[in-house]
Amino acid sequence: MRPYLAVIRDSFREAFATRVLWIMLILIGVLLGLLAPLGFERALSVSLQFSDFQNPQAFIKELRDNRNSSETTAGYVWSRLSDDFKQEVKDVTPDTDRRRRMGVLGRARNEINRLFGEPDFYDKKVWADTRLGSEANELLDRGLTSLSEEERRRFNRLAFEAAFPSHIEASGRDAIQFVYLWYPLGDELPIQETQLQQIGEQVLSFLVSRLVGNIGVFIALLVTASIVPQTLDSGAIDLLLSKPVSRPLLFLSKFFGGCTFILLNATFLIAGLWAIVGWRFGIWSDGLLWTIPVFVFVFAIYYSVSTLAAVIWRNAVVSIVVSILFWAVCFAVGLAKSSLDNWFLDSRRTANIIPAGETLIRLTQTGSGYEWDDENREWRELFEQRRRGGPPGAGRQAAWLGAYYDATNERLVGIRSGGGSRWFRGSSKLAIATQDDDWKPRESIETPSGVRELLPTRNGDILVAGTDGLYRLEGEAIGPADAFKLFGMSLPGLGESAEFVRVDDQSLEWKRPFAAAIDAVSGRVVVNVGDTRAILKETDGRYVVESSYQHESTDEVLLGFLGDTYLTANQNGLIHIFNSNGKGLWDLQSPFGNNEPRQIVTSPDGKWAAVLFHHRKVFLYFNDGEKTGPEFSSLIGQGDISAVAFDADSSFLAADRFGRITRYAPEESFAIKETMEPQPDFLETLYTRFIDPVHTIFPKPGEMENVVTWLMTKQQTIGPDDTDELSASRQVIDIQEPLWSNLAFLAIMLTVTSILITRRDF
Amino acid sequence: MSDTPAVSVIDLKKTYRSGLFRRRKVEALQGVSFDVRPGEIFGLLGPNGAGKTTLIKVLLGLVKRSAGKANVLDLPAGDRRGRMRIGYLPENHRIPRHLTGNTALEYYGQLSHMPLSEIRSKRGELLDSVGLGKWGTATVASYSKGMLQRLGLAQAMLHDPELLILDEPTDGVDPVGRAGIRDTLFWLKDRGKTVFLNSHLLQELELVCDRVAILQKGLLRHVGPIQELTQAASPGVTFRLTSDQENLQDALHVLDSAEISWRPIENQGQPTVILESSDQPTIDHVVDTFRKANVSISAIIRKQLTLEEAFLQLVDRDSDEIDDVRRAQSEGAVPTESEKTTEGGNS
Repeated sequence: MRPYLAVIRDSFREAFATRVLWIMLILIGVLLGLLAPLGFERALSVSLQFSDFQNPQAFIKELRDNRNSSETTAGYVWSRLSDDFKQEVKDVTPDTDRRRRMGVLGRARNEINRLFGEPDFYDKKVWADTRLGSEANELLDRGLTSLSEEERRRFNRLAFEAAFPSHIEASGRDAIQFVYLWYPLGDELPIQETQLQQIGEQVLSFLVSRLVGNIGVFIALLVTASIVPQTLDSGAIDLLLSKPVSRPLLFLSKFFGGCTFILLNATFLIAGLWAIVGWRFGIWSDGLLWTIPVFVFVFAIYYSVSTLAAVIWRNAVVSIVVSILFWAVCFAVGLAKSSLDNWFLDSRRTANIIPAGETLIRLTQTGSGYEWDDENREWRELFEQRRRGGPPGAGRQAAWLGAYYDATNERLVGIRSGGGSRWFRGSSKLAIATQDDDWKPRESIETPSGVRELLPTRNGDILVAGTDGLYRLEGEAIGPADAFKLFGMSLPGLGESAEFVRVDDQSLEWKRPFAAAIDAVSGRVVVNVGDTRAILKETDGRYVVESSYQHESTDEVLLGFLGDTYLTANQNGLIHIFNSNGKGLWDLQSPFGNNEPRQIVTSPDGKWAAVLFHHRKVFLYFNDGEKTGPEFSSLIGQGDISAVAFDADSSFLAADRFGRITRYAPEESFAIKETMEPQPDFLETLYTRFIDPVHTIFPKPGEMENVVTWLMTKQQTIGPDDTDELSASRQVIDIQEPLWSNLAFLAIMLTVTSILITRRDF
Repeated sequence: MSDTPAVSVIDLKKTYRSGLFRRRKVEALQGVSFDVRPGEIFGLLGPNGAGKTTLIKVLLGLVKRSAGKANVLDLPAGDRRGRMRIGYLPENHRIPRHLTGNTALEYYGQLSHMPLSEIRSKRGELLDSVGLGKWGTATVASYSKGMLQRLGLAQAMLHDPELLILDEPTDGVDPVGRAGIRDTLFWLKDRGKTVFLNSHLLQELELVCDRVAILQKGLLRHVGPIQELTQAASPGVTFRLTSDQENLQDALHVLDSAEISWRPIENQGQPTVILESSDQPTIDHVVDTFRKANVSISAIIRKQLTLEEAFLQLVDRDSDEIDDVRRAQSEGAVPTESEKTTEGGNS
């Protein structure tokens, strides 16, 4: 090995002899030097953020509507706003363009943050009817005059959010204030130190992917493109090959030696970032260090193309051009696949499976509905998605917040999401569909703000839960279809007599992280509100807290009720089983690492639960009162499952591909009972027969970014930026395929180049 | 010392193919056969394009032969075990510019499987021996052409090889440096090393080589000791005579009738003839003839050609012959050298 180690050692010597390396190292050093003073301080959450507005339009409307009633909190807040801003709000009409509305929202935030700083903002009389939370009461008990500036701002913030619970998200106590040297950078951010790690890893993942994965690799390709052509120059190669060395090993040594440039730069930058982020933020991310070999690997893929071109043409410029062409082809193939995925095929995937009596309905991510036609073996379209255009990718809220079949009233009940971005999301409405009406959904009244769950009851009541409480629909959701026609046109909704009535006993502080589930057998509801978990039992039409307990976690969770027990699946992929008293029954399980859960479904017989994760794998759990534990039966399409459900007789249904649903018998070790899969159309055939196979075998250096994301976050999905909701769709990232296809490609390129070098006369 | 040739080449051929469908052929070597004896300094001569570099590259395995046989140190040419025992200095070699004299020797020494400690213990003395003792820590980028050449020679000698193949070792080296390289070659020879030398500087070769081979247009024109070549290419013997015209004419008639070639030359009125043959019996016969005819011989001058003169004469004379042979070969009238060998083997 001595000769080959000498070649690699010489590559380091050569790299250090180049000015470009030193320039790069100096630039990296300067960047690290600039980043080093960045740090954070612990602070109280006092400022209002954009993300705290649940429904900003409604909030501003409420302020404006109450401008003449200063005894209300809305009127009082209005009276404290500046005249300029008031005029600006008055000028806003439904026709005002989006950019201007965003501007108004931004100024509203600034105005309110200004109010928090005013010592006399809190007026006891105005807040007389508002129920302050425990933290605010504690501060009030200490006396407002004795509070520090920061604590008084915090108190004002708490008073404000208590006054507008429907519009303003309740804030956690702790926040992070970013500082540069001793100077604060902007407002404090309402995140916990534990969340800082997650955010920091995401930022680092993005930063190193751009700096090293893109810029670094490109510069390294430019710098190293001449190494192999120079080695093959007459006079240089003669001298090397006259030595007792193997040609392929000599080439491979030169090849890996060529990777030293990126190795040195990436190591300096990433190790520097690792040390700074660890020192300043306490984030010691091992995953960050593991990205160094990943980036060297990405470079090696491009460099293998460059060296093959160099061996054929012996010209550095040609090598660079060929590498760029290779990048372009990889990009085009990846783009073709992701475009087809995002724009056409993902929208066909099943988002909800609804066993509706004798028939089976599936809803897609974009909101279209289909009924299974067993005779023709196809999905018959019931209704189309409401809005078109735009990929249903990550961050886009599902068109249906929830939907189930109400067997008592033989109707499909769902909540249609308003769509749009978080700040200008349309209102969500209850929708009802019946078989008599060929399952055409008809919209009813708006759901209360903050609704996150639709809870199917046995008696046909429509129950919704969210950060505003538990509500039941009173009155008829939908009237006769022909009763609301005006000049021959159907008018949406009925619901003047229908309304959502709060039915919880109001003893809980309903806030985020929020989750709820209902037990199909007993009708009891389990909720997670902030750091409290409670079981609510229906008594005389009201849901009263039967039991509750505090927990320390502030993680987002999903809940599933299963007889006398309930499951939680949190954002870190941990599954836990509790009995009704909140006592843990079963050890924490993390079946798929850090991946986030998306949906929990439970069987009507109370024996089975299935947790669907965002990376499209399903975890099954069994509990019949005597035996309890995970179920390891294999399911078809594990890794591609987009929705799960149990039907009325507790058969398990799982959807994969673009419209296949498989029915399993849980009692028979999940034996397949039935498969509902239509014939693929042209687009699906094109995808499955051509684009997907080509993409599979094609190298994917660009997709190695997925591996970096995984190393940093340990998650195989990329989530939306504007919501923590676990049910919000996330983009699945494939780690294995790019890794293996790139490895295979690299091996093939190096083998071909080695053969060429071996056979060639020099 | 072993009798096994250090280099043995038998009917070696190399044809380069180029073009889109590799249809264009260049026959760089057309059946070359010779041996290099162990311990000798062997020179390879030939005009540009004669196939000298191709021959060396075949010996080192840099180029694959098309036909024939080539053994180096009793191993097939290009064998890694053989390369372990060869030191090679290529023409116009390029030592990476980021290396210093010391690190260059470390690099190439390690490529020859030498431990770093051994290289470090030897490199000072070696650099001294090629006149680079003070330049070990300077980067190669600062070296002159001659210094680079001497560094190249040092790296070829570093692992104490049995056979040194040196392609234009004195190229760019000043006369003092050349003398130094010459001394080095004799020193190597004294230590039993075989040196295979390719150079355009024929005076240099003449001074150091035991035997030479001359290649022209891919064909071997001559192989043997330099003396043999210079004598074979001798321009003849000059006779300065003193005689009356009649006796001289009689004597020249006798030579004509004996079919001995001669020609008169002008020499300030003194009768002078040049005998084209220079072998001793013919000279004896001519002396007897002149003396019998009462022609006095005032001087007999035998001229010795230099290697360069002999080379030029050979190359010039053979050039036309080669063209004739090639033409005949292409028409199928004359067997190729390999065909001749095969026929000889059968008979």
